[in-house]
Amino acid sequence: MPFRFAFVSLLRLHRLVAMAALLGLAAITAVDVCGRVLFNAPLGFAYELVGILLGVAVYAGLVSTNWHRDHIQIDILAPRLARFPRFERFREAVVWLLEFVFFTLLAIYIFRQMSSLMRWHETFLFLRIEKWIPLAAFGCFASLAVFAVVAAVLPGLKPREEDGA
Amino acid sequence: MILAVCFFSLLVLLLARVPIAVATGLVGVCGLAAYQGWGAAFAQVGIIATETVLTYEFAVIPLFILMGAFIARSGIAEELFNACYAFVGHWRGGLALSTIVACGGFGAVSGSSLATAATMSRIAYPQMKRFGYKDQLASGSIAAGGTLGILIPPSIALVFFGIITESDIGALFMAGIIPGILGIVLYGAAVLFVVMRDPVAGPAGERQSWGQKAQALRGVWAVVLLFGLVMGGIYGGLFSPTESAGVGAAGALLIALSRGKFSLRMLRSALSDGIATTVTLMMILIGSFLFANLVNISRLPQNLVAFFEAAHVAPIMVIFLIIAVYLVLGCVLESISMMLLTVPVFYPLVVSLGYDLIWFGVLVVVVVEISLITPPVGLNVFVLNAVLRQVKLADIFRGVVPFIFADIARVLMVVFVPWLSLALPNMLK
Repeated sequence: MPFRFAFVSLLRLHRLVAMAALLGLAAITAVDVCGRVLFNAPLGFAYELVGILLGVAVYAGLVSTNWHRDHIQIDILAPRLARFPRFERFREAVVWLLEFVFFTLLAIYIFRQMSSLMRWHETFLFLRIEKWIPLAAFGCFASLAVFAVVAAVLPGLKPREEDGA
Repeated sequence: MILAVCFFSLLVLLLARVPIAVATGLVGVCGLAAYQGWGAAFAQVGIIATETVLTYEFAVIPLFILMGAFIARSGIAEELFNACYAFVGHWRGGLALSTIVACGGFGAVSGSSLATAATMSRIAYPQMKRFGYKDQLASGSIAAGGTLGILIPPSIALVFFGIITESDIGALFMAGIIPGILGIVLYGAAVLFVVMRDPVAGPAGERQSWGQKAQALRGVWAVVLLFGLVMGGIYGGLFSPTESAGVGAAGALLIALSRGKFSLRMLRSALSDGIATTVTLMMILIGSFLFANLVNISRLPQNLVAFFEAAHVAPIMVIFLIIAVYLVLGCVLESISMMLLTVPVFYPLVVSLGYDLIWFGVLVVVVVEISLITPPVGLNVFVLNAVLRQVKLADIFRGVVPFIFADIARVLMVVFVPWLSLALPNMLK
């Protein structure tokens, strides 16, 4: 299943990007504070970079979370619902559809937000890059996250036990 | 009417196991569309989805989560338990007391109730069983002790409250210290009450020599250092809460390194857990902001204020009504989500009644804490049930009853003695 292999590798890559961004968040913040407190030399761009890294961590991490369908939900009625298999199948389908709609909306409107920033050519003060650039990355991650929602129920692409959580 | 339909739809979706982020987000968008049209509602999605993750102040959430993930893997929990055990383990119920205090200390630096309950159940439960503790006291003390982490700073729940109400997160942290310690004291009293009624429930452990006590204390320096760094930094004016979280995460990693617990596998596992929690919580935050916008557009908070003013209800009755709402919602909703959905509705009302927002933040978190151990949701109880398969769920729920009474006492004390929450923030202003 070369397609599955490529897809899982892509997800793992995104997970690694998210983890690196999270570690980077901690490192940049700590270095900035130490620089300011100990040497009176803060990193000017830390404030902006932390925001971007947070976005990368969240949206790159969303891909794998959507694939594993790991979002927090209320399970209080789960044992009772399990007694009605037909209704349970219907409920599952509706829940999946709502997830798909929500994450698709998110991806589309991140791109729309990006395009409106692109028109104004707004730039970050210290990083000197245009603000739409990180939003383009968030939009790409969010789009892959939508594909992950679809893949989560496709027979050949569903997560398996060996894929971990 | 629109809002009533939205609240009802949200409840149905949540009970149908739609992810909380998706349910709140979609209901928020549909409700906003009903008030302002689809164009304006969809525009909110783009703004909130990007601004939420680009806001520097919100980085405090993943950074404290990461700090907790590093701490959970650094062996601190075991050393905290050993230190407490060295001092009070030889008392009747002493092991349960040690568990409570260790949970408080570990919860303070890990910030996660569930991680505290899961970690302490592996450390404290086998010890308690070795000395013949009854399952109810052993599991009840761990489940209840685990809840202490949600209030004792740095607390993720207080961070969320600060974000929603735009109040000072540093002041909220300071406000949580005394009620957090009070929680440890009252839980300790609950343990003593149980062993007074039934001495067989918690027999005494072995007495330790002073040398052993001193040796055990050497293990807790890391907790004291990290807590001092994070809280001292904020109140010494050295760091903002986000910066202190970053320093805390880096400090926690260094502590793991200094104890020889660091490895690439540990780093990967901590980061992986950190990302999983961060993504789910940030998505809930995005969904909740959409829902909160709907609540604001509908003018529900202003209408509530007008209603209570017209009805001449005593302010304290309003507070008790709010507490009752939280206790009921706590039976079906997860703690952070419950706060994110309700605080935007309640806080303008509480402020209009003349109450302090910092005090209200602490009160909300104390009440939310109770929901972690009350049936039928009681997340901590289910975590324990998953780890300690040999203990019946009913026994754990019976075991937490004395601690629920301790929590109710604490809620009343926080309500009637605001000084408990406000003394430290006022002193350090």
